[in-house]
Amino acid sequence: MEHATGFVLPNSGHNRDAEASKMGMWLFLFTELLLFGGLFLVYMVYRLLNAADFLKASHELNIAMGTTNTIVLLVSSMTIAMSITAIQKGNKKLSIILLISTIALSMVFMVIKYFEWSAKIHHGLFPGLEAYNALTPGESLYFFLYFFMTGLHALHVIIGAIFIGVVIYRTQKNRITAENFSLTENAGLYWHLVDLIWIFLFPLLYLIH
Amino acid sequence: MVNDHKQTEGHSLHISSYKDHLITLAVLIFLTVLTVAVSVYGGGMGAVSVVLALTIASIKALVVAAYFMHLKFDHKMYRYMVMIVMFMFVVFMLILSLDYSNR
Amino acid sequence: MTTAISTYTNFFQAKKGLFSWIFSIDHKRIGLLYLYSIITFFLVGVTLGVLMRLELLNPGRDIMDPQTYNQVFTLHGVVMIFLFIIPSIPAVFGNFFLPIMIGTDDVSFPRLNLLSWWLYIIGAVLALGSLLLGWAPADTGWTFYVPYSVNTNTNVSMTVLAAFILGFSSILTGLNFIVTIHRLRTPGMSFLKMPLFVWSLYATSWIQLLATPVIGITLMMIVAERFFGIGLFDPAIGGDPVLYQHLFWIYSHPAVYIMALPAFGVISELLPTFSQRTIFGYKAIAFSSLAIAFVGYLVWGHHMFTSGMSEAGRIFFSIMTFLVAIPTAIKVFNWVATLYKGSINVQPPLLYAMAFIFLFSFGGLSGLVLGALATDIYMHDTYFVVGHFHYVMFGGTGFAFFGALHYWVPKIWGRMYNIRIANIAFSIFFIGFNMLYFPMIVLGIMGMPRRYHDYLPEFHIPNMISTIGSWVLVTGLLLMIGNLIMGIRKGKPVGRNPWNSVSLEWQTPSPPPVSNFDKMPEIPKGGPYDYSNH
Repeated sequence: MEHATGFVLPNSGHNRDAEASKMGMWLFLFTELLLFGGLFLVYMVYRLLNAADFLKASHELNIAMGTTNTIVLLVSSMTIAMSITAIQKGNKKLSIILLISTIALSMVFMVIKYFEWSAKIHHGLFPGLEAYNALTPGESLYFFLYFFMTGLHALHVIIGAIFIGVVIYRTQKNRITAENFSLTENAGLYWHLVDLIWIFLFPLLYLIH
Repeated sequence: MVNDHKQTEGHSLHISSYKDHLITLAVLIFLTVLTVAVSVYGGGMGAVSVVLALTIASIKALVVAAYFMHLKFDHKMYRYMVMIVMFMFVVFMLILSLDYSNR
Repeated sequence: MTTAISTYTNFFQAKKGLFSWIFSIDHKRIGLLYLYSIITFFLVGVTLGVLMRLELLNPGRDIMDPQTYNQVFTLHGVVMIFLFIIPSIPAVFGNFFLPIMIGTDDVSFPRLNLLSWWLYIIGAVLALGSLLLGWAPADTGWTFYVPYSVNTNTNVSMTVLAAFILGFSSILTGLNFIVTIHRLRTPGMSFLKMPLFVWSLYATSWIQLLATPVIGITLMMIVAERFFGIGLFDPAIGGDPVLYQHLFWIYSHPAVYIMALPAFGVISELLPTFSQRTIFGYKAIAFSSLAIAFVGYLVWGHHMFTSGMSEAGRIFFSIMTFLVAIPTAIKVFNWVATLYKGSINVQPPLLYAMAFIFLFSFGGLSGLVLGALATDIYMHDTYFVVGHFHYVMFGGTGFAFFGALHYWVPKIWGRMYNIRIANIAFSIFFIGFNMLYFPMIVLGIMGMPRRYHDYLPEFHIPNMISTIGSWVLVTGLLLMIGNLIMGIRKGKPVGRNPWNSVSLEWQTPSPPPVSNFDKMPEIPKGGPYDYSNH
């Protein structure tokens, strides 16, 4: 960067600024909240109009698997929060172990999800398949929302896992340290968002009563 | 190009302990078990069950935000921003409900 | 006074060559990259508009068939809204001047800023590509209402994908500005000492950040419906097409405030400079920007009064619509009060600012007719609406954009354009504008529907006047742009502060150096518009 006039401002936009980094991440999380928010609004409207059908369709979901997945994500939120504590205390190795654990848990989540989805597809309950076409209107809407919302969520799980992978790499290379751990913090924030969305998806999709 | 000159403020000085995080998880798991129990065993509650489920979910979300996401210990500004965004979303829900329940 | 161009390196000179521009992370260069692309796409949009007016010169077919006409007005809307008006002031002047006005040397995330521009270009290429691919550009109107948008065989998905990517560009710019304003203000510049343009960018950025994702997900639902054949808005499976409209307008109404608020910010900068006195009611203007941003989220249903919403919904939205007019009116009163007893310097930027107040107020008042339930039933989907939004968006934001250009061109390039030609161009432009759009207000009241390629004989004369007006407007526009370009290339060099303003950007050389300032900027002691010692 050429400071051709030789004068440098104290409040330069090129300074490393951890607080700005955090703020930027939070603002990005707000956009994600509203992205999913749109789907939650659609869900709300259609559940209002098709309460009985939503209830009936939700019985196709396996509460045990959903609950397990909820707990898996909660534990993974804890592991990544702990990884931040570790790096703040200068414990690089522990931080990496906890980050790897977080990714491992995310894979457990995805595997369970895979089983859930393939069970449904096997029963023809996917948009375009036979059993789906035979559903009542409210039930079709429920399943479309189920696949759209959990699918979009799963995509964010994958993105989050990749993000954490990057953090592991940089921690290993000592580019993330006890003085400079914004990336870990931000990965944590993103991951907690993924957890938060599931915290709402779970009761709305699985626990309709 | 990033200068290495650091800004003086940065991370808050509070470091959550491992124990803090474990306790938070315990609370969250308890609430999860609670919400499942209410759903599976609390038959015949009708509309109340939706309210209860969403209330428990909201409490879980609050716990994740305050402790795991460190909102409780960060600059108050973040708290206000989150509140404004959630408020807006609730307003959208209310307005849409207003329209659809009166059709 | 000779300029310092030869004794320091300005941001144009620092590095040369195309790649040093399109890979630049300097907010000033990025602002100009946006300027060149935005003006280009604006001219594409103008061309589409001129073609539409040619078709409407006479009843019956003039130059195109109905299907083509539908495609032309769709693309005209998409290009003007997503490629021109929404980015215009924030992406060009926000990028260039926000850091300078708060006394810093760049935004908080310079590389993210470059990414925003790249996304903008990719989105634009996709949007214009939809015109060419298979010669089947979308014909749904820029609003993509279901069920037609999910059934039609035109390039809806491509256009919608373009809008999605452009939305990302908008979101990232908003994010960047919010963090920059929070973190990088010069020591001593509290929020209440910031220029009002910065306040307007702050409010706008929050809208960009929070509203855009909603249309993002809505457009994804359209694509999902087109690709899977069934969808969330299909009545056959219990869906509601009106729900699409709700979700679409939850973004698209706040979007008009993304267009309007930066324009208000520009006017708040121009008037103090050209009346050489402090702005009237600084706090009122600052807080009214936030109020507009907030209340603007609550009025979207006024685009849907005839769609089948419940009465409770309609009444709620009508009341909110009238409420949002209040903070806007407060601004207008404050601006006029600023001019009162000021030392008025009639220059081209001031002409555009005054035209803005007149045209925007007129357009805003016509909006009240649409906000009232009973009159909207009659005016919805007529030319009254078309007249209304062109008055506020083009007469408003468009004029503010050109006013900003005439104000800041000397700062950016260090040269002045020909004032006399600028004034003449303005006059032709202003006259053409009103010839083009006022007849639409009349046509709407007479009952002519919008988005029709043909019309009844009794609508002929106002349509003819309108079309001729479009030719006058284009003449003024081309003269204006030509004059600015001539000024940039060959105009007389100017010093740091040709307009005698107290805002921080006028303390730095023209053009600015790469790091914006060659010495610590001084905040005016009595507030951001302190002209007491000038």
